[in-house]
Amino acid sequence: MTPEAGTAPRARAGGHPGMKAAGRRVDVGDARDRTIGRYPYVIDRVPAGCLHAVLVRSPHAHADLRSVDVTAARATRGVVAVVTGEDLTRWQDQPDGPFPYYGPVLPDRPVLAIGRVRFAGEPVAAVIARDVDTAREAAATITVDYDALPAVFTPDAAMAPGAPILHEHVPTRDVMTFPDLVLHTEDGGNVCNHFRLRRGDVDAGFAASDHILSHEFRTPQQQHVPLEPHVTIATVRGDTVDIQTSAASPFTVRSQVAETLKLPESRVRVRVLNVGGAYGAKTYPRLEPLVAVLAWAVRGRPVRVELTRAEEFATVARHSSVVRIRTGFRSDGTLLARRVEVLWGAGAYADISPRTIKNGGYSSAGPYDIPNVSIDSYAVYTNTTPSGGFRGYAIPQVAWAYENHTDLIAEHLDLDPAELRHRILLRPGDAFATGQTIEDFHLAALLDTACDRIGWKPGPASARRVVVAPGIVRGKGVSTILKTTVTPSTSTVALKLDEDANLTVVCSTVEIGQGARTVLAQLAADATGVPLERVHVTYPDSAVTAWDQTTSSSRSTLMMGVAVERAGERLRGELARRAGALLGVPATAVDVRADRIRSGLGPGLSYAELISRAKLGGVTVSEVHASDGGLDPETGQGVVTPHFYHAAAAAEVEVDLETGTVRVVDLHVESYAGRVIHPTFAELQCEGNVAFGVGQALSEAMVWGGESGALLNDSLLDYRIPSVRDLPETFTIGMTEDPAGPDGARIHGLGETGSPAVPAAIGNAVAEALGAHIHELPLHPERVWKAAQAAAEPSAGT
Amino acid sequence: MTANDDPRQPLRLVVNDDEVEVRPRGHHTLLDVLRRELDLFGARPGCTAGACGSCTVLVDGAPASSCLLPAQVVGARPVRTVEGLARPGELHPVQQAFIDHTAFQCSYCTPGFILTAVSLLEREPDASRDRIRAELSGNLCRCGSYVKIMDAVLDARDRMRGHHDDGTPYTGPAAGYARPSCSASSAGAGAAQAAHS
Ligand code: FES
Ligand code: FES
Repeated sequence: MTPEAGTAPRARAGGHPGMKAAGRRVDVGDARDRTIGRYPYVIDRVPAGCLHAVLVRSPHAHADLRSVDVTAARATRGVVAVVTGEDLTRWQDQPDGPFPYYGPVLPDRPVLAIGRVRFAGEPVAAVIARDVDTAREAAATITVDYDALPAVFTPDAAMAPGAPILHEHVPTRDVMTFPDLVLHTEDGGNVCNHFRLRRGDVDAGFAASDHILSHEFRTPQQQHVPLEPHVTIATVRGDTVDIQTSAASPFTVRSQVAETLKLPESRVRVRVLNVGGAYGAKTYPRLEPLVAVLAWAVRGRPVRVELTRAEEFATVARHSSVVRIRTGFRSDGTLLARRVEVLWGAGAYADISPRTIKNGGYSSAGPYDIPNVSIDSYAVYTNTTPSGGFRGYAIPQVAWAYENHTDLIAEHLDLDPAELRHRILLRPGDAFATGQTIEDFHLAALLDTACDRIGWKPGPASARRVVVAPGIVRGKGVSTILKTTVTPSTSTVALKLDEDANLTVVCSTVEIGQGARTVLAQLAADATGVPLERVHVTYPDSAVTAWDQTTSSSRSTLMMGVAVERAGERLRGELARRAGALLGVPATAVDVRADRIRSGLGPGLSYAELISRAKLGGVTVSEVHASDGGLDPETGQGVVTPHFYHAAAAAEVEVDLETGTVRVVDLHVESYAGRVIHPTFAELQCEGNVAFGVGQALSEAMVWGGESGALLNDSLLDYRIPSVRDLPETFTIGMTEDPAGPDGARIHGLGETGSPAVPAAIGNAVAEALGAHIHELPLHPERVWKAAQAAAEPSAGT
Repeated sequence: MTANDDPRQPLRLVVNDDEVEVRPRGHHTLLDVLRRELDLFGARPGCTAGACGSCTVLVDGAPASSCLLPAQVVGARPVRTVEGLARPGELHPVQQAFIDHTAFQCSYCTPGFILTAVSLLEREPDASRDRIRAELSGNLCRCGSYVKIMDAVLDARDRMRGHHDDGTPYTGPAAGYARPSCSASSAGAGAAQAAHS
């Protein structure tokens, strides 16, 4: 079967042959399907003869499993199989039996709990039945006997002496799956990885400083809430596995399922359609190993699992964090030394934490020029939903800390916070904390733009703080952040030109709402000269489409985009060679562009005419694009990214001191874009960053509690994500492009860049309004009210 | 009662002008029936708690969360899903406006927003920006496509009633909305913006 090719994007009226597609608001090829309910997602797929599985989950945060009684469930009419951790242990010793543990970095997670549960919501048993109702009812008859254990929910509690230990032994693999990752794990504690960065001499830096400030900041776990929940359909037939899944990294899923079912990777086929939201939730295998094992248990029949919203909250989360940051500086603001300790709440299993904490670690230095830096970043097991990547990839947490901290330094020196940033921001030619030289970096300019947009008045806080009515105060705040993208990283693509000169971009980039299929079609059209309306982009199918590392980290337009551009060049070279052979001239004498092949004067040939006359049948080329880099395992020094993504935000808020409510009255987020390929999708991504930032700033937090340590807000009634009414009343986004113009300008990912800047800017604005910094997110009314009360006390009457 | 002794009961529904016979169990919702029996996937489960609007359909012209509505109680009231909104060869103006404004990212929420907007504009052709915003606040878009969703619905309103807020005749989707006219600027020279107000 060939992969389903999507409808081609059409060029908007006004385009002319040869006009570039990139940089224009070309129509989205499948836009119509999206509005008539025909835009396909894996959740719409239910293969004939499909069985449905329902999971029994632990109500306890931490407990030993005494017994799991599945007798009644097994006897229920319509139930095909019931699987528990005991079955996994038994099967493990069979030559073709599944390997029961998985995890992208450390295989520390059982597919179903074995002997112990480590978070409320952990799957304990699975019922496979002919329909969902039967499976659900049989699941309700399963009784589990738990022996509750003490539990920990925050990373500082989990690192404290005497804390309950989640994993007595942290397993590792013989071969590391991630080339960019070095593990520092130790048994006997809850730390599953420790990242270190050492640059210069921090002690000397502190000794030379006029001032030293230390603060601690905290952020809670959050859930991604993709509206399409995780859904996976798996079929095991003989020694082949077929997986359809709502996932953003099909090849990561493939490796994991191959390991789980002890098969070569080529025996596992992973297919993905459009994904109904991901934001990091679908970047690593989450549901697939489990569904693959269930499919193995009933070999021959497809098994489907679709999570409920409550289960989604038990699947993956954003890390909670505790950031302790200490900075030494001169009286003019010059930063001399910074020491940071970051503790990350990894949840019950490592998932991708060992890597997340590396990025979150080195990024905690911030976008500032600091000669002496020491950073220790720890991924710490806690009895909560496992944490993974989440839009912004650990930057929102550390940016919350370092940007509040920057404002506290400004306050200490009685400086305008924007002015202080101008003195200390990194500039091209400076070295980032990892030693990498900064280039193509415009953060000071972005900050100016953001300030202009909200009417920033320079000076101390009093220049901007306004009492608009008794008890109603306005303040403004700014923030500046930088972010990296995964390095090293590789994308491959094949371009297939058929006999009618339609072009198929055969690649495994996943359409998660970022517009990737449109953007890649634009780049392919420009690079090959095939008109945009004849360009199709495949859905990922690991059996057919070219290998790609992942759709995450804001890397697709950059990495796959460059691969497509180079492949396009290669394709035109190939057409020139073939045309040269046909016409008896050297390839160098043939000009190939805009669907025309010419040598000398005359109308030349269209691509289709060449293919037909030269009896080529079609032309296919492929290309790889890879980036290099890596960090020294002891010092954290080295290359972390092809280039630094960066953004600035400025916010104005109104705080009601009586109720603690915060209203964002104005907000601007300016991101560096390098070169914009599809302006509308780029804006949508930037606007999405605002929505995510506002949710993080004002409302979103997973709350663990109750007697058994369960999640108290596992529905969208209790866990509020922003609606249209929760967005700032006025906000603007901007994308700054390369001042040198689009030719040669590099593509910067935009999907996450602006998001981390938003909570920090809002937090600084609230601090200005209150006259006091709140060190913990979110800024919900109760917390703000308490801070307002505390700030009012020492100087009553102001 | 278990699935085994909760037999499927035949039920007649009117969906997108067709009379259909379905066989839900007692507790099945309209959303279950649409997706499992009628292969209509435009209504989508998001929260199954009435909080996100991604399962929105029109029942008797009014938006309803099909995830909460037992199929048995729908009765003879006509059900319209996003699949049944366009007339042959012609999209509903709200659908067309969503396309013209690219009012989506992952698009999972799109049918719910479209149906909520259609119902509002049919009842209140002159709905104000605030009114539209309030009505759409029961639908969630996690991707945060709200700016362009608002633009699309305002545009659809004017398209349907034939004039803009200031009384000038409606001429096309480019006129009068907070839609940015160009993408970006170079460093330090001031930025293009997408205003949301
Ligand atoms: S699924 Fe029905 S309102 Fe969310
Ligand atoms: S476009 Fe993704 S949820 Fe709205």
